[in-house]
Amino acid sequence: MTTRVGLVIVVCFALMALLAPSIAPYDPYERVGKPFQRPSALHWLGTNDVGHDILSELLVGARVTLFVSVIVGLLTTAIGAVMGLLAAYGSPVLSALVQAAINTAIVIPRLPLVIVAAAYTGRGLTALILVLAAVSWPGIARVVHAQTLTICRHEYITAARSIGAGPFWIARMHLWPGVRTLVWTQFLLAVNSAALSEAGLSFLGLGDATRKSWGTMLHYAHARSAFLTNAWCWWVLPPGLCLALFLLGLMLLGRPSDSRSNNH
Amino acid sequence: MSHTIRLVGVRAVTFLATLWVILSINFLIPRLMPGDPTLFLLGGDIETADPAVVETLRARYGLNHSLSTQYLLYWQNLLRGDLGYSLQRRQPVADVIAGKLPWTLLLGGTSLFLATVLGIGLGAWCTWRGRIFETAGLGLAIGLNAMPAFWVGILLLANFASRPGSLPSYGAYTPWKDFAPFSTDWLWDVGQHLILPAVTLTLALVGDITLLTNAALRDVIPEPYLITARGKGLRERTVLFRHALRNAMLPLVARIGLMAGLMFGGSTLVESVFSYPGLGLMLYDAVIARDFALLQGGLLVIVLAVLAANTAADLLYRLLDPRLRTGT
Repeated sequence: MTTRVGLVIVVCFALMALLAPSIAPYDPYERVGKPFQRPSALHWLGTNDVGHDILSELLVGARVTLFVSVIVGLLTTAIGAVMGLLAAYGSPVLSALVQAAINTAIVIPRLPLVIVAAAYTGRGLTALILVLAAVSWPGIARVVHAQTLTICRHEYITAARSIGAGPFWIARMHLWPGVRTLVWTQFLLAVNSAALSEAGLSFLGLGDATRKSWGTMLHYAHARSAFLTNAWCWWVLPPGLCLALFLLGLMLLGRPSDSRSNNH
Repeated sequence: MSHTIRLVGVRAVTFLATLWVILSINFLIPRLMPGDPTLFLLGGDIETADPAVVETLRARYGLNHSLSTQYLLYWQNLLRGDLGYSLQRRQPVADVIAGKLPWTLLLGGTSLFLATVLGIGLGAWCTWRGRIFETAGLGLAIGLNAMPAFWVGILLLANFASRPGSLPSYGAYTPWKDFAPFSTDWLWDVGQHLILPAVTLTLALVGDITLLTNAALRDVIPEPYLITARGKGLRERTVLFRHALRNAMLPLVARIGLMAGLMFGGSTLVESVFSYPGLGLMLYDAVIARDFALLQGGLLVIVLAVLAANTAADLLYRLLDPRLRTGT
């Protein structure tokens, strides 16, 4: 049930991001009205400090957040899964090295490092994606490592090995089905935290300055003190709600339905 | 006692090894990034920069040495407690950080304490009251988790700090009022400034702690010792607090320790919403001003804090759990 709700939410946002240019009433980068207008029939969510239509910004803003978070999620999961498998499967020296790398990287606080890296790499989407992926993989690696070790202890692996199964066969036939669910959940978590990081960085003004996202909208709304007037109702509330709903959808999608394991 | 000493020894070695790796990364990041750090000081444009000026700057920051000499100098300075000089603030980096640290500790400590008490309370209460309460409690926790903290902060500002006479929206104290530190007026002023940022951070943390408490309690609920406790005729409250929660606390200690470390730098967003003068805001200002000495110093302190908190939580975890006392 909760999984289905999550799926509906995420699909809705994906559609919003895909169709945004055609359903947005205005070009969000064009001045289409007086600045600081209240919501009206012409501008359903009013206009911002430079006269851009807020509703159009909101629709188009979904694109950057969704694009960055999904790409970072894929990259993170790929790196994490490979590192986790290497730590479990590699030669003793390689395995020890990879494990040490995981244990070191996992304690590095992500957001400060990303903020500091943003100072050196400049503000482009590619840099942002690479930096986020570079600091996010250790969590997945650790989980995949642990799960792989658990699976490899089972007798059916020994049995498969004894009849001459190679490592790739075992990985494909026995390991992958065992870690599949786990990797999916971790992927959703990675997308979630990437979306939050992107929004946070854009809010700080450290994201891609040429593309609008929900974080960018909040940056300008806060920089122009939207909280002092009623403008927060249509300028601050909508982008934050969209972000929160998207994150909620991802969480629900990744949450195992635990009604079956209820012990009460 | 010898196993405890050995345990502390093993942890200390791991701590130092991780610290060495991270400090080396901290040294390498600016040097591995494309471009010369001095170029940022000159506006990032190599064509218009005067080569003589570039050379002077490189010499001043020790960048004309080989990488290995720079690395030795870096360690030499670190061990002497010299974190460099902040160009933006015209002050030694260590002094800048020392001025910011108390505010971050105050904000982070208050929020973490409130979130721990509220989260464990809510988690324990809703898990213990049965299905409907549990679903509602977990729903609330997941909802809170989904809300970006900086957005919650702006909403709180809009609702509680936008009218004259309401709560302050900016900073950690009123700058034009010269209250003597720790006088009653000063404490009142600082307390008022603390409310909104602390509530924001608490809301950001409380969801996680509630979910963790729920999961930890769920793990101990089927244990036979709870049936024994009930069978002895103990009150439900005693069963919850003395028997169930006490055992469920162990995994929580580790996670809350982790959060304590992250408080040092993870609150950049909240500090910047409220212009709260802590380490997080300092880091952000340093990025904007391209103050690389301050950036490195800030990251260093944050990483040190995270590492220390992790190690402390791990040790505490092992000391609290009698089952782990015999092994390493």
